[in-house]
Amino acid sequence: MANTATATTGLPSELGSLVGELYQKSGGEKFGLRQQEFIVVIGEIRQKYLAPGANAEEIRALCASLRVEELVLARACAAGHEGAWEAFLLRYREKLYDIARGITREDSAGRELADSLYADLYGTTLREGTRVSKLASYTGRGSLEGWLRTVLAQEYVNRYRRHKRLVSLDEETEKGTQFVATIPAPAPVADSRLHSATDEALAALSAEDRFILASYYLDRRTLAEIARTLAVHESTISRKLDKLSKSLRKQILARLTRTGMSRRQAEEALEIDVRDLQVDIRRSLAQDSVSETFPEKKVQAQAGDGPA
Amino acid sequence: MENLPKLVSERLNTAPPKTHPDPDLLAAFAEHSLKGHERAQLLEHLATCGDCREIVSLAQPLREDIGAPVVQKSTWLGFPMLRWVTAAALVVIVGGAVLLREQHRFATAPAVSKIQSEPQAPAPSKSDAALYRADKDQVFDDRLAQGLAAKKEFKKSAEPRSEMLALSKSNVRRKQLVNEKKLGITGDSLLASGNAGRSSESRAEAAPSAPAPTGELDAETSQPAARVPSTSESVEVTAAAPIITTNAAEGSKAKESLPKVDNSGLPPEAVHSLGARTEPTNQVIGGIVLQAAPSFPRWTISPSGTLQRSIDSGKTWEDVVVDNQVFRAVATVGADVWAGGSAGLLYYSSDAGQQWTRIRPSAHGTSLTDDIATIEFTDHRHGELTTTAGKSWSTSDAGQTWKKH
Repeated sequence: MANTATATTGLPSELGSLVGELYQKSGGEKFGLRQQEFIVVIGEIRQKYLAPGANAEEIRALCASLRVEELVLARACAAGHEGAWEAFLLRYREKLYDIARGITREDSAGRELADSLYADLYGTTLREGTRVSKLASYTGRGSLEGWLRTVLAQEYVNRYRRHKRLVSLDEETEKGTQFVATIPAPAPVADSRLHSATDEALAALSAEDRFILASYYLDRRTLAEIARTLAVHESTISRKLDKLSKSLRKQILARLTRTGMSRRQAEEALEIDVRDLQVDIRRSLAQDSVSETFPEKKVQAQAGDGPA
Repeated sequence: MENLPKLVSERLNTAPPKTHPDPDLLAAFAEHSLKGHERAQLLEHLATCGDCREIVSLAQPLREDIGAPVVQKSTWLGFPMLRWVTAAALVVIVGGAVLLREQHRFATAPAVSKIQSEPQAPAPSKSDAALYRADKDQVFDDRLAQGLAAKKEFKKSAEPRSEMLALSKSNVRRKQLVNEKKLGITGDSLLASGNAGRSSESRAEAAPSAPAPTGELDAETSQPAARVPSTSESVEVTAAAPIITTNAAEGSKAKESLPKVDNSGLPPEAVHSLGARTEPTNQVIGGIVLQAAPSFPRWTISPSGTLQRSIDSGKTWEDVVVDNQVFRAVATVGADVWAGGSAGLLYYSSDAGQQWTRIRPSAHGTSLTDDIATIEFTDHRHGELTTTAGKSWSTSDAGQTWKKH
């Protein structure tokens, strides 16, 4: 029976026994999930993550890496199984609130975030007359707890972005944005050779190196945070950043000199970013013309321009 | 750390991609369970997408020190590993040199016993050694009494300096006597092993010819050297070598400092099934047993969560299926193995993985239901496990009771 089902879902027939074992391990029976339904779920996951021409070994590795117990629990909850919901709430109710509090760093906001996710997990929207639960999209690649944490983080980022778009009038007044009358002059175009040399040097880096650079210089993450994300020691990240900075500088300089710049010109072009000066001058001019309502804030804004 | 020019930061901040990975992949990445091509693809996306970087960062487990075991890349040439390798190499070199020296000394033991068998220098037999020890004890007691008397006089007299000298002299002698006592015992055992052909009766007959250790202190100091002139060196070896134990009961103290094979928890049949390499091989040199430390299997977990064991120092690995469970962390102390997985799954084996027991940690009525991320045991009884929820559970009685932190 398993083999017939595997054939219909694109799973190789030789994996029938493995899928059978996974079904036994998942404990799907106690949540009323039949083996055929389980095979269909596995087939969907295989189609989602593997190319159509994936060999049996790749499919076997994917199936073996799945968290089938949690997958079955999530799918049973999505299907509205009462016992599954009881098990889910017992295991994850408090955790969800803890995670939400950890993300928002505030009790009431955390509770609100977790409650909004509960609604999505239960399924408030209807599609063709059936309730759609967010849990139906869980595929068991990571732990269910990790998935919930990620979904909460996504929701938090989305909310934050929405909140940023709807800035209150008071905040606008405080920022002084409604008084801006003059359209800032367009920034002068920097030397295109510098752009292309930088882009080429960055493109030559590995994805992990670019991730580290972006996390540190753009997102202002700490070494410990980046190290935790990549599962390495923070001293490794520190060494890597140092090495990357030096190597990037060297690469850009080499590329600039290849385009005809002298060594000194290239170094000057890299060190003095014209646009930084423009921004500062523009701000200084604005300070002269606008009344000094919040001088301390302007000082802070200027000081915070450069990378740490 | 060198600052990047602003231009580079700006060029890094490219437009984010239109499509984003699903939460499953982001969660798997945050838990370090994505491998190979998929991980590279996701990193490529994360390098250009600030929102997804933010989500991954927020989706990290709460505590800093939890998560999957930290994987150090190319650590073999890294400084921390190099430091440990150097230390280990030094220990091996020093240990090897000491071992070779000991072997060389024991190899010369039969020649020593031959010299002892000559009538000019009769070696002490068991009874002789007993007599010798008794004589020495008597001398020791006498000297102790003398010392005490001197101490009394020292208190009374107005010349403490000379008395102090006498006391220190008696202390030196006391140490010498203790050494001589050791000499008598080990000389006997060496004789038993190296000169087995000689009967104990003949040695008993030779015993009276040995001069009794009596007389003044200065005269006594030369006695042991005259009695057993060539065994003093070999005696020092047996007394000084901590990892060597003789067959006699005197070596019990030294034995206690060694890992005991019988207490390793490996039953004979289990040891047999694990292969001959796991059985410690004791080296016998001249009747003296050189105990080897028992070796236990190595353990790891495959990417698919299967426990794996190696009995040949990691050359080959065999799957160890425990109730068809998937594991995420493993820890070993000798033959004790702890393996943990999702939803508080915890198994324990006291016999290097032959038999397993399911452990269900609970504290104050709360059972462990979180996913176990790491397990650490410092000895057979004390251990701690951390969960992906940022909690830690510890035991100090080999898993009988647990504390939640």
